[in-house]
Amino acid sequence: MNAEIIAGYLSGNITEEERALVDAWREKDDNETLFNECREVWELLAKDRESILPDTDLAWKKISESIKTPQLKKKETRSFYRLAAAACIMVPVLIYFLLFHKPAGEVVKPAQIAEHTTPAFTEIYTTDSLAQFYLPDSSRVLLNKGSRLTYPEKFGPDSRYACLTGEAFFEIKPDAARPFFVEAGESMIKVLGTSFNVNHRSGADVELTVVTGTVEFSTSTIPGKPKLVIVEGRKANLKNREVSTGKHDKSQKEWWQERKKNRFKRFLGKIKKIFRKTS
Amino acid sequence: MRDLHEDFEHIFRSQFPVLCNVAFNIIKNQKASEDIVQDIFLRLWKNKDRLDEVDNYKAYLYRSTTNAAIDYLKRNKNVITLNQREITTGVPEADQNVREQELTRTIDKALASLPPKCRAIFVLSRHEGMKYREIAEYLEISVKTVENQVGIALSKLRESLRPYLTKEFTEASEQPRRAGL
Repeated sequence: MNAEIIAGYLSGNITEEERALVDAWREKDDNETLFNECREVWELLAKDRESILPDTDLAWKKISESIKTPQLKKKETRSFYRLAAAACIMVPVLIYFLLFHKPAGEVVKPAQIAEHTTPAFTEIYTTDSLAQFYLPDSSRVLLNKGSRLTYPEKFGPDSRYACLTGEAFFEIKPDAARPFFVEAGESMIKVLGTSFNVNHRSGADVELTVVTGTVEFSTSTIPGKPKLVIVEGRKANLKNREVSTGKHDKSQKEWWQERKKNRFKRFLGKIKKIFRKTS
Repeated sequence: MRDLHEDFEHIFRSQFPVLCNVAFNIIKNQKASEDIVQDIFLRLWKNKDRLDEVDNYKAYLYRSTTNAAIDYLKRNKNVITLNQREITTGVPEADQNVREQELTRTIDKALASLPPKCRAIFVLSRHEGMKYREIAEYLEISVKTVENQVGIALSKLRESLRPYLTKEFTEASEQPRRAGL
């Protein structure tokens, strides 16, 4: 018998067998006295426990000063993945330069900018990292590696538009007067305000996953094909010019549910889990 | 999908008080506890790119806090920290008799005399109510080590507190054993 086992007993950290051993030991000689001494010490020690109430607000103020970087403003929507976006050549390009069927990762030559009538576009492309940025209407986009999104510098009064190669997750600000269109490959996705993921990687295949809200999914180059309405929890696939729909597959759905739960897991997960399957 | 900055704030606000309390019960210095935990969060933010290596964030935070507290104790071996109760109240609590106060002070001192690592592990077990297996997992040590350290704490503390235990124990342990008792 030693202090280790007695401590284990008192703290509830021993097995049933060990418990029985201690109880048997207690019955012999004067052991019960010794045991009670230990127990009293154990009880007394609880008195040492204290609670403090730190000033968390003040502490947060202090730490947020230290972690703030010049480009991170609270209201404004800059992410620290801006490094990825900044590294890209953000040159307005004419839309016809976007070749939807090019394999991911190919370098796009900056276009000659015509100064007169052409509308200005912004293009963001990523190579090895993710990019998070905001569209002119404050909709948020998370662009996966090796992807490209092009959109006008200013949205018109009737609609909002972006063109995607690769994969991106969109969180579109609701605006009933201006539906949002995402063109990816041969598909056209129309949304009012919702969050969804578009995966347009190889060739002409496109996969759309809707997280919240409702979108309309259609193929732009196949006349006569009906527009499909895809709702929360469902996805659509454009493969070989055929459109099929289905539920989210389990792993994706789980991830979307996770984001509602543990914010910290999302915080970590952003680096590790996001788009892992496609990287 | 929100700004990482917002997520970080959320984690900070929910974990900061908890971790301060863990650190405080080990080192008994409120300002130092808060500084320690602040540093840990600062480091967490600076290393956010490597966070995919962390599987269990709670273990990470507890481990960092405990290790920092142990380091603090090692560095401040000769510093006697006034017990929090003394600092805040200044005046002995009215409803506590002298013996009680003395007892509390002795208990605090007894714990302060434990080796740093031993003290930290004991605090996690006794005050935070963590199971040995949890402590071992969070601190990345063996369960045997935890068992051992808590045992050491108990014997040392029993020694220090012996004069304050219920009289019958002290009498029994001081007098020679008599047959037939």
